[in-house]
Amino acid sequence: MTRSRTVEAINEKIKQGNVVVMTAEEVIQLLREEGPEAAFEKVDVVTTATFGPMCSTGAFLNFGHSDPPIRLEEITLNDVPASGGLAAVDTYIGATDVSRTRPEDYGGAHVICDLIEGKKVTLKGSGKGTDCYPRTQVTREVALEDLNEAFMFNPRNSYQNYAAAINLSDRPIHTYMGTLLPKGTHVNYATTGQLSPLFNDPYLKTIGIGTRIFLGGAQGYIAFQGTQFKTDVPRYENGIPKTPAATLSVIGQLREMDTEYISPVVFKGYGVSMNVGIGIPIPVLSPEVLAFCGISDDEIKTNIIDYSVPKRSKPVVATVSYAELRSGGVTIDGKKVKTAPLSSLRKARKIAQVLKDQIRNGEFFLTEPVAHFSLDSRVKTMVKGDDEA
Amino acid sequence: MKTKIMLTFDSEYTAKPLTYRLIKEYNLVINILKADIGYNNIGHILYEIEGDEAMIKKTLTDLNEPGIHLEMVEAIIAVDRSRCTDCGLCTAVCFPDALAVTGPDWELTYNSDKCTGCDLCLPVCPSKAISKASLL
Repeated sequence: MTRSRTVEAINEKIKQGNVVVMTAEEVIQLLREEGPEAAFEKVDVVTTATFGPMCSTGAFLNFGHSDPPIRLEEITLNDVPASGGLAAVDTYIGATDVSRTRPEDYGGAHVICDLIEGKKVTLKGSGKGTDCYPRTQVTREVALEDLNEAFMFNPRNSYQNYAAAINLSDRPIHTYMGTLLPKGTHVNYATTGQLSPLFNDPYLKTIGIGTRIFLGGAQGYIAFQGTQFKTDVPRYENGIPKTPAATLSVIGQLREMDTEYISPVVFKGYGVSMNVGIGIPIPVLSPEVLAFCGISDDEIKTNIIDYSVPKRSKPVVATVSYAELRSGGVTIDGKKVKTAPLSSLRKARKIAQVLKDQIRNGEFFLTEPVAHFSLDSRVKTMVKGDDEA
Repeated sequence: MKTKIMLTFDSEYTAKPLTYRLIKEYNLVINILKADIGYNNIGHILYEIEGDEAMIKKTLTDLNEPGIHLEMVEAIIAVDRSRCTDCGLCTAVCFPDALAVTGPDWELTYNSDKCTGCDLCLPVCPSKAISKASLL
């Protein structure tokens, strides 16, 4: 007999206050001791989390109308350009947009976090003036409470198995994976390994469109597949993709967010990005679903890629496990190389714990996906131009 | 006793062998971690010093004459805990392993004894949480 439980049954337990929730780290030990069949009876929900730089992040904002009204065509917020390509007083500000006056240290991620923290932000806008929107210029100090809608909408977050980075050239390079010192001095790696959401549900059996998640402190949702979503990938026997694979597009209220769980970052020589904190609960619907949550750092492998090669396809230098990366050093060609993370394990653990507490306290209910993701998605490269070899 | 000392000197001392005096007159074992002469010809030398504690204290008193400032350095960098996310990216460029993320809580620790003042971590921190300690 196949044993299973439903999301509805789990939510009933949350209501009654007797749901059993474990973090993806805690459940590993239980699974080792008892196996998925026995452990299935003991846990209803597994919480997963990550906290790290995710460039494809931004927010939709609506400012309300001035009198006379304006159609904002050119927009800056604290000198950071935002999109003027939507309706009159709507905009989208991307995390990686940089300030025209302070491009080295301030960008869209800072604007979004300033808003979350309740700070005033300077809106400057202009439009050509139309019969319906006669005004041509506007300058206002606006805070989050002054806006109508303000929601984060991130086209690509929470990458499943991002590659690690090394620099084998003889000069330092500055990347979104941080500064990489020359001659293979160190390896920088992202993601939180065994705690990371998409490693705990590698075939996306429970995570889908409409899944309620923890996003930067808010209760957000998975809106769609993320950009460059790829599920038709080679996998290890345990289901873990051998290359970067699935991604998520997520949405959530800025007003509910907390800069403890979302914060701006600046990478020297690269630019601005955003640390995004994401927690995803996995409903333990079957022993099979639970078994995937038992995959630990030593069973998750990723590629180390040479970022000094200025090509789309960069050479794989080595394949290592997250347990090795986490240990502080990996061996490449017989040489010990230091490793350093980009994602904060401390913050991710906190998110997994907060989400666990919210579920146990009846503050967070699980959802059935509205639709599941396809498992045969591929990614295209840009259309080839005459300037390409 | 082993400690770090920052020597700051005015332009009139640029040509004077101050380090020689520390060795010869105070019998200190000296390792120069960093030295520069910058704006207005004001110079800085960061030493790691090993010697008798009383002698190190005497050196600090004796040599603090006009134009020279000697001060014990407790920490070369300061980590702003409200900004630090404990990601650990700074540890990549920290060769003496003064910065580390370890332990069950995976929090960033800074061991000033190991720090050589290379400053490589300052621009690397994506959260701008690392700055020079106030003395420097």
